[in-house]
Amino acid sequence: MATKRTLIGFQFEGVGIDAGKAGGLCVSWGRWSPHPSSDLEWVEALADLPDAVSTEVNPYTGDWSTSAFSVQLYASDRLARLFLSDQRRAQAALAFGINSSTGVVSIGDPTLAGSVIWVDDEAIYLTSHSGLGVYVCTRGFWGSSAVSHALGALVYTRIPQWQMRLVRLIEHDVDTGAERVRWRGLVRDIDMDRGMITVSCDEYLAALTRAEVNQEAPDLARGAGLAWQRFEAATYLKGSPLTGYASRVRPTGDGLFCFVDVDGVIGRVVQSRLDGRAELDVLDWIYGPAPDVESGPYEGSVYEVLVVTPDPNVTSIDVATYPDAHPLTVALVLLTSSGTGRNGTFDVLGERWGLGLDIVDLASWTAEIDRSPHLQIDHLTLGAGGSPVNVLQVVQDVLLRPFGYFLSVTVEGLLSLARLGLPTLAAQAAAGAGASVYPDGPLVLERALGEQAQQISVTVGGTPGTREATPILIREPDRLTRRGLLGDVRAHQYDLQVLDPRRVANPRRSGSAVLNALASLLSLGLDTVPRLRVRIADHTVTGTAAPDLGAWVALADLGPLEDAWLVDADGERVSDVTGAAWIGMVVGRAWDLANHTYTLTLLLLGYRVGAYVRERAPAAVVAGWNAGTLTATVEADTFGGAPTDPETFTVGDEVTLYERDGRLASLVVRTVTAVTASSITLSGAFDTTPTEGRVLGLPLSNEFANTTRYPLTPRPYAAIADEGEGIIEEMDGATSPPDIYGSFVYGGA
Amino acid sequence: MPSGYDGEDFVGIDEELIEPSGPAARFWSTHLDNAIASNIQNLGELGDAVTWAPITNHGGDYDEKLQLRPYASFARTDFLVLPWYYPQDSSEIEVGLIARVADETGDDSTVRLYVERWNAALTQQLAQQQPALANTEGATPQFQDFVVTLPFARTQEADAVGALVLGLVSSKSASAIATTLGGGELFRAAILRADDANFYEDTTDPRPNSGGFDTQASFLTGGGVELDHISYPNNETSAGGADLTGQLMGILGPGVPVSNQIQRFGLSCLQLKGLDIWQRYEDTTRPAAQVYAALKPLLGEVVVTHALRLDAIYTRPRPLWVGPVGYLPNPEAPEWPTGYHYRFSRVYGDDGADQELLSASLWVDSPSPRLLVLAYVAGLHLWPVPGPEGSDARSLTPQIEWEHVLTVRQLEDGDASWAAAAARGTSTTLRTHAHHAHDQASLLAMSEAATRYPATGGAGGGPGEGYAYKEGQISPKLDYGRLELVALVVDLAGYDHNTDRPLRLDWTVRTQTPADEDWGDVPNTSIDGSSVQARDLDTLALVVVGCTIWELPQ
Repeated sequence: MATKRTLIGFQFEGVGIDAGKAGGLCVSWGRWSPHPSSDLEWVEALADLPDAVSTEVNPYTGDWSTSAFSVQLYASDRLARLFLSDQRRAQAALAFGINSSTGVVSIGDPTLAGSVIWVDDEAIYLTSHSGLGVYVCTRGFWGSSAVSHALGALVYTRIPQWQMRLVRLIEHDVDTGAERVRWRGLVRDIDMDRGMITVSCDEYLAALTRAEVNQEAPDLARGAGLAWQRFEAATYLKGSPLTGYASRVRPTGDGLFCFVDVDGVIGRVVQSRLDGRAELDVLDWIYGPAPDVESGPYEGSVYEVLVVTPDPNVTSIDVATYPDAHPLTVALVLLTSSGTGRNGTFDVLGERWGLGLDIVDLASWTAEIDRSPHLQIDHLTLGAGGSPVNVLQVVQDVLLRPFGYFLSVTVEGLLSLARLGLPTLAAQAAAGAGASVYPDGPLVLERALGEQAQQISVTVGGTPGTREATPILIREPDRLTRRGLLGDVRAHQYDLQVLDPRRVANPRRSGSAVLNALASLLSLGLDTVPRLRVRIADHTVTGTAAPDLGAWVALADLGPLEDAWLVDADGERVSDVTGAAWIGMVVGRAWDLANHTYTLTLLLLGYRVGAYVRERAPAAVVAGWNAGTLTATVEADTFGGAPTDPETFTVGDEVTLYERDGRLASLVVRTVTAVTASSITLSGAFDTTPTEGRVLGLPLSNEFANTTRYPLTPRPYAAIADEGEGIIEEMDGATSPPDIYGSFVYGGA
Repeated sequence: MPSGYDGEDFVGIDEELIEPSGPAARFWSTHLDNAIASNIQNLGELGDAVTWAPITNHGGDYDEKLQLRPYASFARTDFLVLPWYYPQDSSEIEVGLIARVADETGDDSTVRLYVERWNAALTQQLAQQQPALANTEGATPQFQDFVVTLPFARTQEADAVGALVLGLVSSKSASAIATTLGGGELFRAAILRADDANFYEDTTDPRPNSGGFDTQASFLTGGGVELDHISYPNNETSAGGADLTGQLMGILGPGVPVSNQIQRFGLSCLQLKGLDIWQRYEDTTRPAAQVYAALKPLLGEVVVTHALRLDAIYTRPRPLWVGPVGYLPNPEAPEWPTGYHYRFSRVYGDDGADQELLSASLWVDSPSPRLLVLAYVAGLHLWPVPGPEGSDARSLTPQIEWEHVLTVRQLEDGDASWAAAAARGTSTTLRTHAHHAHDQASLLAMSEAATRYPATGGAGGGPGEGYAYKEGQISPKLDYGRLELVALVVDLAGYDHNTDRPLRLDWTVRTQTPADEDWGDVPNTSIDGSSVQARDLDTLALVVVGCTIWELPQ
């Protein structure tokens, strides 16, 4: 076993002592000297090391919990001066505004060269003085983030405030210099008792649970002299010009274009068409009928609201390249918007309408949007009646959970997401060959009987200004005669306010799709999914994914461990945990700082079906055929787009030729020897020319085998087999069960 | 996406793309998913069509124009006001007419056609098209196809019942036909009596013809007054006696004192052999292409959308029948000119017998469906029968209960007639209808009065002289308020759609004997010289202006 030598330390955002270490101060525990490459100033001052960093999530409810720490430091002279004081009075102000990449600042005072100043949450190192109080500077110093600052922003020469300052737990490999963030939190309080400084921290995500936006929303009706006006069949709410008011939701470009809540009816404000002035002129009533009122003064309130619909003319969100009404787009907009537009692609809302988070693992979110571009919400209205909005609650309960997603925390403490579902072949590939279980750790199979759900209770619609909510109850068939002893029926409750109740009220169409998806969710919780708790070395997790919450982890065979107490879904004892039944989704993770192990709780979502969800087989429409090079040029995006249709084939795939209606055009089977974005080259010609419009596809399963895509599976595609026959599958040396479509009706919402 | 996978074509899917073969299996491919999805899209967007053809008394070809009712009016009138079921995802209506546009005065003038969608209460217009239909008199044949597409502002988000309205405005001939009246007269007075020459031009030349007053309008010299002609019963002593037997021709609306001359002009007219209504859909449920892309995990919830989408199309309401198609006069009503049909269906109050309001032949192709009958019905109290100046007691509206019975029969082997056919479903509904008091400004009320009390003889008329001008047309301004949407259902439990035999739906009504209070304050008076009294049941009319029958697959 390899020896791993690490330093563990806490780094505080924008805090340092030595300006020669741009990474800032890191108070540590450990007897090793840091690797010379580290730009952190390591100070061995931790009195103790936390036992573990724990994170858990319940993917059915979306509830999660994370560790919080109290960091105890030895109160050396310089640390005490640093941690127990802050500068309450600014020393200067910026003479001009700067953006996140501006390399000079002007603060008037010419005496600060070589020192660090603080502007907002950012520490800036003043490298040299250029004269007249203008300095060349290093931005984002000591672990802070370079952001824009306005003209007149206050300048401090010591740390201006400690509360809510970001704290990171750093693992530093003293042999390689590699550093990983293992946890993120925010300073809540600092106190000193004799020689010890205690820094109390909240975990970052937990600290945000109370965060609200749209606080102190102004009543636009106040002083505006609003009055109802009826013109023919239309109803208008008109008022005097709202001088000085700009939309808080859409900060740029649209003037007063915004949506408002008028006594529960959502209307759109447009600029006066007469003179272009900013006038409250509620012209379009977005939801429901226009208010049935007579002309006359309006005595109620008007609040600006955030509205999201798939209609580009009726939405507050405009995100480049991503669908605006996708639930994950909306979630990212709420999580990352800072009002500056500089916190990434999704920073499109006004200052009071987003959390401005910069710890979001954007790649995982956008990859999921790309995987499921068809998801969309029908409508969402936030801030009705001027009410504050708890962003994390909306994201978790309204935007993620109804679609099967749940918030996840990566091993580096970034905010990610995952989706509840059965293990797929891609999950299997990502999980890799499997992690070895620690012999002295737990090997616990939890049946999780207490989590069995008997019904799903759903409320559809009901967003302010829209139609009334429609309740739905989906129950499992009764299998328990002593349910009364449980005290109550265990129910999953879902808030589907983002869906139009008409989808459900009209059973002829998508209502059925909604119910189908909900039934799938119930199915995932219906057959209590067991959990396996194991301990593994933190460097033995193989595959592409770290054990982030929601990631899939496979286990290596238990080897000499006594594993016969594990029982599979058929009630048989097993000696092998390498199959699909034992791949697990990480729902709990405790990182032991001292021993460098993970204790993982794995949700065995494949336990019941014992199979991976297979994939849809490729096909490509022929556009032309070169008999000399045996290359078919094919249409690129008839069946998908990215990757292109030919690129969904793998070299080594056997293919045959179909007519457009699915008849076999040729019984000859050839092998793919090369693919490009627009062509497929074959090992030989068919006995029928692949003319334009014919389709290249896979042959029967007994003629197809290619382990290039998934080494463990020569036939990764779902197939339609005769009942009881099964397809020939060489993965386990036997004929696999029939892979009839329908075996895998479970999935996300 | 090329044709074949974008819903433009329907391509049958061969079993070789699907069928497993012993232990070998066929892979579920993106080709299969896209082909299924595209076929479903094609089916869904194809929509449903229904045709309507008014009954005629001749079987002539597409040049045959005589004795086919001409629609003409200088003010906007509607000749088809149908209750219409707009299902979820419906995006437009396409109306195809086989029509002749003519002007008997010789001008090559056009007809402005109005195709409109209204809400069910006929209080709000939701979409409209107003094409000018070119004159077809020079074409061969004279009846030509006209296609009008009526797109909706927004694809229908949820099922809704509304109205589909077809109306028209005629063009005025280039020059006046004649001077009708001298200046200074009260123009509301009758222009002609039924026994005046040219009142019914078809006594010598079947209409439409250049002399027919029903395809003319009167105009004040110098402008300002433009009035369509109507016919109405004569109950004025001054105009021929209050015997309800005569008929007068005048103009619609209140009297207009004029000082200039009034002139008659010809109007362009529209004759319909038939039309078809095509309800088209937008496919809003086809998932994004990426959902059916290769290499995606094949999730049941995704692929089962094929079945859900197909089921949604199959279970859409389908239009089966549009009416009323009109009916020919009873031989016992010789006052109605031979060869002409009534356009609206109507019954008059009778508590002693079931009366047939409508009858429709239907082809139904789903098992045990529910049939939905939607109709715009006008309840009228044809009393007192007004003259040009009318009477004064016309503000009262009797509330009378009617029994509606729907009976659906199907012929079986051995059945000699519909009377012997077995009933597949029946339903009975009691409904109270408001019978609107007469109003001389209402085209519907006036034309129904003229139909109810035709010129049967005496000073104002005789056999063949009871034709009511503009029967089958209503005025949108005032008559919409008289229309009541009636929805009746009948379930065809156990109906076998494989029998390939038509169904016949009969809609009969019977007046429930009213109590005194049902008449409200209507005094039971009579008109001098007539035996008809105000509370006679047969003064109550129930008129079906438009009707559609829908199959709702279960």
